[in-house]
Order: sequence, then structure tokens, then C-alpha cells
Amino acid sequence: MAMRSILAVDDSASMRQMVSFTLRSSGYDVIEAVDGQDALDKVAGRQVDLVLTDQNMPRMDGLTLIRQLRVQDRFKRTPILVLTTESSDEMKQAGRAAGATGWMVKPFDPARLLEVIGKVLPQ
Amino acid sequence: MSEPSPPSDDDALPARLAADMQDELLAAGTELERLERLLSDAVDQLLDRFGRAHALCADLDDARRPALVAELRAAMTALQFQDMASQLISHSRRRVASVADCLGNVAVGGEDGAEVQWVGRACPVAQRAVDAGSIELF
Repeated sequence: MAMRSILAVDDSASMRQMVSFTLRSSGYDVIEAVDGQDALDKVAGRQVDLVLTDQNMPRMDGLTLIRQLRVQDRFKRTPILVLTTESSDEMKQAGRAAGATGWMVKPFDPARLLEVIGKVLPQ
Repeated sequence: MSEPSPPSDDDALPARLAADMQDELLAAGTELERLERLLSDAVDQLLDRFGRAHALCADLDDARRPALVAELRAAMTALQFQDMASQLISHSRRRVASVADCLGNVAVGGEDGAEVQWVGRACPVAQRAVDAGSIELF
């Protein structure tokens, strides 16, 4: 089976490192991006199996990224998880309306992150 | 309770005092920036060691490896403190800078902080501990 690819978007270098470490050590191929705009550039012309994005980032935030991805045919059904410090119901609802598949509040527990990814990834 | 009286010239902050307060706040902002860099450097080093420790797990036998990997993953949750601390510090720095700007206006004879960009919004980091956060699937 081909290695599943995950786009990990976060402006914090340490968070990107921890997310990538968790995912790579479980056999995923990880593409890193520093913000929403960088993420769009990195996936231009290619598909990924899942997107994991922060919300508050410079240049382009997570919700804008989700909206930009959802208008593209190849990302209409791709699972998109938001991993953020934002925990208000208003933000979660905005995430849902934008097309997010789920909302995870930082800090993440590596085992639970992998469990959720396993749950939402198409088999 | 009586209505607050309108400001008079007697209420005005002396320009010299405003300038001193601005200096103090600018110094506090610089110290917060140093704190942020120290935290970032410390976490970079911790993550480097963390990666090496994880790589060493490969040398362990099957009976001992899972327990150590589980411990390292648990430590990763706590290591994320830097991301939250950095956001809180950045937010505080912006607030300090806003007040310093306002005092700067007063120090040069300006009347109020009308041109100051106040931060307003509360910092999104509401966590009080580094326990794993909630998960909601839509």
C-alpha cells in the first residue's frame, strides 16, 4: 500500500517538528507548510490524503486555507483537521462552516492524534 | 454612585512621567522578546534530544521499546508549551507596545491615544495547563 501523505500547516517551527515527528514515525509521508499560502503553493497540482492545519497564521489563516481548498474539486472530500489553541465554540462553528472535518485543541496527544487521523482517513 | 467628572488639565499625565513610563514599557517589551527567544532556543534543543532519544528506541528489544516510545510521546504533549507560551508572550508584547505608543503621544503633547492601535481581542490561548486539548469531529 502506498504511503499516505499528510499536509501539516503551522507557523510554529516546533509544532511542525512535533507533528511531523509523530506522523512520520507512524509511516505517513508529511509535507510541511508555514502558513495557508505556503500550503496552497505546496499542494498546487498534487493531491494529499489529509490536511492538518493551525488556525492563526500570518499571510493566510487556517479557515481561509480550508475555504480555498474546498473550492478545488480534488480537495472536496479530503479530510481537513484543524489543530489550534483556539477553543471557543464560535471558532469551532466557523471551522465547521468553512468545511473542516474536525477541530482539535492544542496541545495534542500523539496517540490521540494518530487515532483521529486513522478514523477520518478514507480506507 | 456619583458620575465621573470630566477630565481637566489637573488630570493630565505629566509629559515627563509619560515618557518615563513609556521607557519602562519599551524595556519590558524587549525583555519579553528575549524570553520568547530563550524559550524557542530551549525547545529547539529539547526537540533535538527528543529525536535522538526516539532514534535510540530502535535499538531496544520488542519488550522494552513500546513503553519508552509511549513515554516519549507523552512528553511531546508537554513540549508543546512553547507554542502556547510564545503566543501569549507575543500578545502581551503587542499590548505593551500599544500602551507605550499611547504614552509616547502624551509625552510629546498629544491629547489621547486616538491613533494608537489597541490589541483589544483576548489572546486565543485560554489553556492553563499542558494537558491534551479537546477533539471534536464534525
